Amino acid sequence: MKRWLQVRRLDLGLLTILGMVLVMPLIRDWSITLPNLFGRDGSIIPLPLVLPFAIAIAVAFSLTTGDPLLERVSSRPILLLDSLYAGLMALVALLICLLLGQVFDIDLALEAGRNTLGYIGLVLLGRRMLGVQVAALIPIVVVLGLALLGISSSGAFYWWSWPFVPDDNLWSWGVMIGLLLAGMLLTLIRPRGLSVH
Amino acid sequence: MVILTLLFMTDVPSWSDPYSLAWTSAGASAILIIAPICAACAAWEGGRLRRARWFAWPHVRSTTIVVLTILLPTLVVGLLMIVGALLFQIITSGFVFIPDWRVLSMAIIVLFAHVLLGFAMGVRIPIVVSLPMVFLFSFAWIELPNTLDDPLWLRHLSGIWTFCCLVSTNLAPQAWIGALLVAIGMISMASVLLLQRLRLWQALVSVVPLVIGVGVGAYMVQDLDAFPAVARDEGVLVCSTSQPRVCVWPEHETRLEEVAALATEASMAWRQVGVIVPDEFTEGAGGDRGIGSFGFSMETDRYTLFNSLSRSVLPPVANCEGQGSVSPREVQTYLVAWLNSVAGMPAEALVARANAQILDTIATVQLLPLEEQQIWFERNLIALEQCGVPPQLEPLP
Repeated sequence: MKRWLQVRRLDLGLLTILGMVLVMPLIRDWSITLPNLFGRDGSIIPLPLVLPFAIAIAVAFSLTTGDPLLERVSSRPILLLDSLYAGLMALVALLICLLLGQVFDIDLALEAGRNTLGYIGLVLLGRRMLGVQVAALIPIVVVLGLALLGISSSGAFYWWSWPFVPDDNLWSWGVMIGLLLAGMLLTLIRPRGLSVH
Repeated sequence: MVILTLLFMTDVPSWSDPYSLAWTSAGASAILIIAPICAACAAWEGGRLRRARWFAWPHVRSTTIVVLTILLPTLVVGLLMIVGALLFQIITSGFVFIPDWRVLSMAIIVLFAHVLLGFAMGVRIPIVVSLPMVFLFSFAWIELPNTLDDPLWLRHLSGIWTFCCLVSTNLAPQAWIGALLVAIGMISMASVLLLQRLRLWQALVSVVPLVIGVGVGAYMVQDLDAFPAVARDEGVLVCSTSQPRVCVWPEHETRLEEVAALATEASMAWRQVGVIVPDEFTEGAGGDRGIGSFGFSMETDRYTLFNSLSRSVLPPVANCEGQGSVSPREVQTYLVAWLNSVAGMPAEALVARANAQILDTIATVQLLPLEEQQIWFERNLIALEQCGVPPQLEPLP
């Protein structure tokens, strides 16, 4: 177990979360303008909502650090451990975001925590569906797509553009948790070929 | 990338003037989409070399040749997209223009810098991390400064100048040089990262050229505001032979005759009521009472042009914020309305440019004898120029 955690670079994952803790208070009021199709002046996305990309990338990296050949014949349930590891990282990030929101009074901290669940879920889905190498790109593409399409001409986000809606939107929580669970379940299924890292 | 670039192009600013620099700048802003995608593609290519451990083995061909060969398809696609964006601009602008070489060259340099650095990251960092990281950093470096309120000049270092420039301005040379230094910094950093036997200290030192590039670039552009623009060289103004002389930017030359005729007509009317009319109306800076500075665009209608000429007859408005009950700016609106009316602007055009109170006052003034109208104008002209001089907008009974 200890060796597995070392191989999965738990230290890097925790460092990334620490980085998020340090950076989020600094960029709490920053935003970035993404192109959109129906709005007039682009979608203005607060940076705390996309900061969890870093954790999703760290998880994607962690799950590629092992030796696929050795892990295939391992007596331990590596796939289950991987799935739980991703879920645990998502949970820790969510708790940290909750804490950040309370301590630093960051309005969007809870939304950031919610988005971490979805982004990690998308990474896990992407690993199995499109390959490990492009997995971390999936949440970015999805967010760009939602920014492109998910804003009305009045400048309001549609209910289905889940990373950008307020934290009281239960639908967005459902989507995020659903994505994470689907990703974790799909991680349990052993891929047919050996993944190339 | 084609779809995204086309979608992006539908949202870039369009200009009413056929100013090549402005249209090229807006077109080249598609780099915001092109550079991050091409950089991510380059990171992918770098990842292939990393997986093959190509850099660890001796090779006959030089690294430069190999890297450029691998990056050629990505660079060609990026260049084609830039050309496509500019063609889109030519089609939507309705006039054929030669792209401004400074903006075009910077777009190509920025593309090359992002692609090369993306490739180097792909070679040195596992692809699962480098691919999203390169895309995000490339995008953020171009876009994030645009959303920062302070410092405003930081946005010029990305080399993308979407809103440059109005017809009366030109691209600031320091913006071009600043962005070039940053690009050189990125290329230098990539070159160090692509050394065959890269040591840790070399990887750490590779950031130094980029830091220097950003530092010196920032020093160069720190005096600019939100726009990377300087006043345009007035030597290119095209002038009429009429009296008064009218000078316009070359992009407005097709309307020179119309403006000159309007200026002649208005000047005659103003002289008849004793107004000192400038000998020259120019779209340049003007500067003294002898030269009136005005401006217009190709979409400006006749009466707005009229209004602009009237305004140019008046001296600069004094800044008297918080002094007196009537601001010089308000005095200006009365005087401009009077000048418009004297020059023969129709009532419906006057109504569109002044409120009822101003129009009533102007009508009353025009009922006065000519000498009294001159006194009213001169008195209020002083109030316009000097703080502490109360205007006399309502004529004395």
